[in-house]
Amino acid sequence: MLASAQDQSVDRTTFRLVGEIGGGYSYKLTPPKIILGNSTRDGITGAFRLKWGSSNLLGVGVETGYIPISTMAMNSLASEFGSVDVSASLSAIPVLAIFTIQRLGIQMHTGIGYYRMTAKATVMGKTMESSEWNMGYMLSFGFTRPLISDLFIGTELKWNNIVEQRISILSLQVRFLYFLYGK
Amino acid sequence: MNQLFFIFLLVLFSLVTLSCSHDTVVNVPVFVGGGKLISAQPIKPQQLQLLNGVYDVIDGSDQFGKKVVVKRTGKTLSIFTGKNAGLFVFQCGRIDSTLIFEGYWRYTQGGETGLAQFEIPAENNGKPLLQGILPTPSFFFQGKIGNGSAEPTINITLQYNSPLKDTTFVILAHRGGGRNSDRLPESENSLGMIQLAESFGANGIEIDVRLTKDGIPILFHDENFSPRLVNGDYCVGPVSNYTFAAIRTLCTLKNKELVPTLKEALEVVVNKTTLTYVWLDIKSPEAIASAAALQQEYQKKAFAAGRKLDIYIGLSNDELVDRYKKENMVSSADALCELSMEDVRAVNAKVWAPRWTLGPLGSNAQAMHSENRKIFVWTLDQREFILPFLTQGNIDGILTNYPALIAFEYYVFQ
Amino acid sequence: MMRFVLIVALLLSFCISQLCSTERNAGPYISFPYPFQQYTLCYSIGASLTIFPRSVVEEEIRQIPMVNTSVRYGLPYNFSLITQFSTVYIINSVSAGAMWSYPLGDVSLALSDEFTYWFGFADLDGFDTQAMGLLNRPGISVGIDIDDYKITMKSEMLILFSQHTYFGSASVGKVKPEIAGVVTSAILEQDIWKSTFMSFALRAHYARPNYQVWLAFAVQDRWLLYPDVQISFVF
Repeated sequence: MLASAQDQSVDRTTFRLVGEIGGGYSYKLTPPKIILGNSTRDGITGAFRLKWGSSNLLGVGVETGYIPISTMAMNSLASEFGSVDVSASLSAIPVLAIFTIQRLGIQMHTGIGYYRMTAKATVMGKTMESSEWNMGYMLSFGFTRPLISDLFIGTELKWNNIVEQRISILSLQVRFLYFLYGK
Repeated sequence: MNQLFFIFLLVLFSLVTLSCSHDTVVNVPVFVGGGKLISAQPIKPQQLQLLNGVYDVIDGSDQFGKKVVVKRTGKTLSIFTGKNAGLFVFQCGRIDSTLIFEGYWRYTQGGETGLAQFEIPAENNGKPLLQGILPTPSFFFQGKIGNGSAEPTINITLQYNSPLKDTTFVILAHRGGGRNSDRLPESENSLGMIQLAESFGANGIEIDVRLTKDGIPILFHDENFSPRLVNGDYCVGPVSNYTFAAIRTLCTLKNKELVPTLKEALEVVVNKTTLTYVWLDIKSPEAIASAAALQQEYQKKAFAAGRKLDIYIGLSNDELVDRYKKENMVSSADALCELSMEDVRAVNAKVWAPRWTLGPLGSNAQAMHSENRKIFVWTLDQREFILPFLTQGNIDGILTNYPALIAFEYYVFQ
Repeated sequence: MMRFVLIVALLLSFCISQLCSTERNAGPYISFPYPFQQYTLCYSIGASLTIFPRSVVEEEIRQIPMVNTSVRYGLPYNFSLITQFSTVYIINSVSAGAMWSYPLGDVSLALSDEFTYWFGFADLDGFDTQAMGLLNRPGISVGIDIDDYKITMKSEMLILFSQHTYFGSASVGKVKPEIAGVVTSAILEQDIWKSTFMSFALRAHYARPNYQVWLAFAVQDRWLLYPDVQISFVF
């Protein structure tokens, strides 16, 4: 029984290497702790994945991309330094190890890794840029449909959580998948 | 169906594990309407000082242990207990000859707190104390405590046991008075925390000094900004990437205070406290010159104000030692060195500060003392690690996150 | 506390829901609670990463990586012997214990108990310190064989029996059993490529700062929630 079970498993198992590229709209869920002037919490995001696995097993892979997090700008802010102009922006580049499961056409991805956070600020005419790696997670649900040959199209709802900065972003993306190896 | 359920479980499991625990501040409870002190007259410091002593706990030993230490701390009266590094901090006043003490108790290891209200009635030692008569073993210091903001209803009775011995032992409060993880009402390395340090039992503080991008020395422990220390989305990465104006505009400390400069901190030490030691833990070699200039300025100000104040430039690694020597500060700026005894001698440091994890110091302590140098051990927070150092009796001070605990252990041990 | 209650509720509901039959994959497994064949052996080699809350480790090393190896040996009457070894020099642990399995169709249950002896060394600048301790970890596991992979949910209690720290010529010790926390794990074991089997584990620790951060000498008594990820090859 065990041998036949293993045979059946082998029949279902087809390992593939899949490349995926996507883009869409992102929104920062966590509100800012300090509110200055005009601020935005959304933007256009992009992601790229490389995955290995079989559709009946847990797949593994890597993901990167770009996530705009927020911006702010204020002119003539009253401060201890007098009236100052301030502007700043924050973005992240994720580098994640991802795991994926697919059932009934729904794909779930979860990932753990680091985000390269970059802040740019201009205060009193001086511009500064600062970056740091912060640990975080990712979770997403999506589905795909075949487009042509080895190319698939899909959508995805994704949650990025940059834990060390306590920042969460939700995004809705369109994505294209291509089988680089295996059918 | 099973697979979907599994997926659902995995998702929920992931969500459950994803968040971190946040350190919410445990605020100091206050009496509604200001309590009885609102109509009280001040008590003179020398009168408060008469209450100093080791007391036996007659009622309340479950909560605070069998002994406590009562000590005037600046304008407040504090009680230090051995349990959970507990303490009381009282504001004091008198209505006629009845002495009123109102404030709070707190476990500094743990965060439980509540209101506390003690009294010394006029007919029961109030008048003698105001006349300068020391308490006797028959003196009872009594009051009530509550939990949280609840009115105090639980009886606490302390019986005077013995006086505190005179001491020059140095209790240094880490990061100005305590860490953010201890959920104190002020942020670490803030001006507010420096003003709390004495009531927590310290007579000195250690503060962390870094330079901003435009060369202003500020108080900040970590090399990088993080939600542990600041609020402000745009403060990311190294502190040294930001100008002073940017830091003050874009972020605050956790309890919404401004990030202080070293100058502001020393101004508070000299003018608003009676602290006698400041250990400047310098975080980068570039900060040494500006820190040393402020050290000399404020030691002169303290001297002019009739205050005893020793400020030390803390050298914690070889880079700092090399820069200190290069800037020719050996003869002009008092140093404290954490490294080997040879390094201490090379910079003629006034203080040797070895890490406690090296163990009791033995003959090394005698060698340092024979060269007229002090010894401060850091950072001791647990009774079982503190006692071997107190037992050997060859150190001059301890740097700690819990000055109340050190104060209790030291005075009771003696 | 609410998070811990949720984890236990999930574990129980998972156990109740999985009652249908699927065929079993014959690949090797370490954690899956189905009984082992008597006198057969299986082992795994991998690495884990524990991520501690900032309030304990601040800006010091927050992620503690360790190399892990586990061995499981089948015994009669549905018992298995289990041993584990983890190391990163400043922290090391050796565990030994037993598991008793009870199969219920495609769902398996197991009770386990392990003793863990941990020890660490710090002889860097400013340190002349060693520490060691003894933990007991009773646990309960539920597993299901889902077509091509095996899922195990496991919950263990951490009972600290003793802990000793040596610093210079002094030492302090504590010998007093106390519950130090709870660890709940979700483990997936499957084929990754041509019968190369791997185990992926995600653990949630709800505990006082554990032996992995003994060097932080944390005094906080609060239980904190922090994760741990482990990936291993299973042979």
